[in-house]
Amino acid sequence: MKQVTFLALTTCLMAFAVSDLRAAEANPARDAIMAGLGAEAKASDPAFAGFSPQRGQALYGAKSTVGKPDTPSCTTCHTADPTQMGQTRAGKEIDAMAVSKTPNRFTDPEKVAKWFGRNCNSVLGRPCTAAEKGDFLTYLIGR
Amino acid sequence: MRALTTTTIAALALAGCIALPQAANAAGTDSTKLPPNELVLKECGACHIAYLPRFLPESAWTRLFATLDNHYGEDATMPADITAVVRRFYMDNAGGFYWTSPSTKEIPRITAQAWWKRAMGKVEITPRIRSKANCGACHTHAEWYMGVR
Ligand code: HEC
Ligand code: HEC
Ligand code: HEC
Repeated sequence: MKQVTFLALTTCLMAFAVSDLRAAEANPARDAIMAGLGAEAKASDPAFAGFSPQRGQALYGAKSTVGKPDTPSCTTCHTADPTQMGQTRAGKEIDAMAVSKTPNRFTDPEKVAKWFGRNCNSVLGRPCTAAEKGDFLTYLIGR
Repeated sequence: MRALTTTTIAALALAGCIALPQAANAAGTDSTKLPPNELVLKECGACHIAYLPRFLPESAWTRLFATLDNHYGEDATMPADITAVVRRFYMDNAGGFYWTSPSTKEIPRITAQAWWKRAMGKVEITPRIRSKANCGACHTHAEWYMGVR
């Protein structure tokens, strides 16, 4: 009897371990967000050929002069290395943006939409396109 | 009986491994279903601690909520239904702290109030604390009075 319980718990732990390892690639909520951005990017540009982590990395590190002066770059708050903790201008810590470090990143569509809205406006002085959002997330999902 | 218990435990354990990861993956929460104080902690506590409404009077909060698109140099806008609940919470619990309206279009600061400067004008803001507005770095229970933490 004890063995059965033990077996069940072991299976459970193994299932957790596996789901943990795969967290970076597979998450239904995150996949849905990416699929939505993909469809939007395709709709606005029929030549759209998929997201690029390189373009995402470039956007992450880019310096802008047209947004609000206190926030020239995404790295102002998220730091140059996305696997490190960031900090807001008011000193509050921000969890690392890399999905490998913060597994529940980009899984709440409301949250993702709200922060792209704010931060693209603060940094770039305009909304980000669906392609830019997808590139940015692709870069961080791979980090 | 023993068998039943073991089976139940096994079943629960298995149910646990199926249910938990799914809960963690659950898609967007509908923020407006949160009680107002929790909504305030989430929305106004994202970039700094959620400041207590009583630290500024109504007139100050009115100006702050009218300028969320350029909030001390940042875009802090939120969906209109959420702004309405959060704004109401601040207006209803606003303080009577003395506040001199700045002549410019500046947004009011708690850290610019005379009482704040008198009590904390000499505290050291280390690079790690970064800002006077980082109340939580020194007052570790600063959000308790919101009735949640
Ligand atoms: C002024 C500080 C600041 C800047 C600059 C900034 N961010 Fe953020 N960002 C935040 C904060 C604070 C959060 C919310 C806290 C958290 O998610 O841990 C956040 C969250 C996000 C999220 C949501 C994360 C999630 O888990 O869903 C995205 C997407 C995002 N930022 C994108 C960007 C992009 C793109 C840029 C540059 C164009 C940028 N940010 C620049 C502070 C900033
Ligand atoms: C997108 C990030 C962000 C969000 C969301 C946000 N704030 Fe702020 N807030 C800031 C920044 C940046 C400062 C300036 C901090 C500094 O000077 O160190 C600030 C400063 C303040 C100050 C003045 C602090 C002082 O110096 O006395 C008040 C009051 C304030 N915020 C209230 C609010 C309220 C209320 C909300 C919710 C409606 C809110 N904030 C949401 C970023 C944000
Ligand atoms: C660098 C540390 C530090 C920061 C940041 C800080 N405080 Fe303080 N605060 C103190 C110290 C020290 C005192 C005086 C000793 C005490 O009463 O605990 C104090 C006292 C106070 C008092 C009592 C004042 C009185 O008249 O008795 C209040 C209220 C207060 N702080 C609120 C705030 C708020 C709100 C913020 C953010 C806007 C803040 N503090 C930021 C260190 C800090």
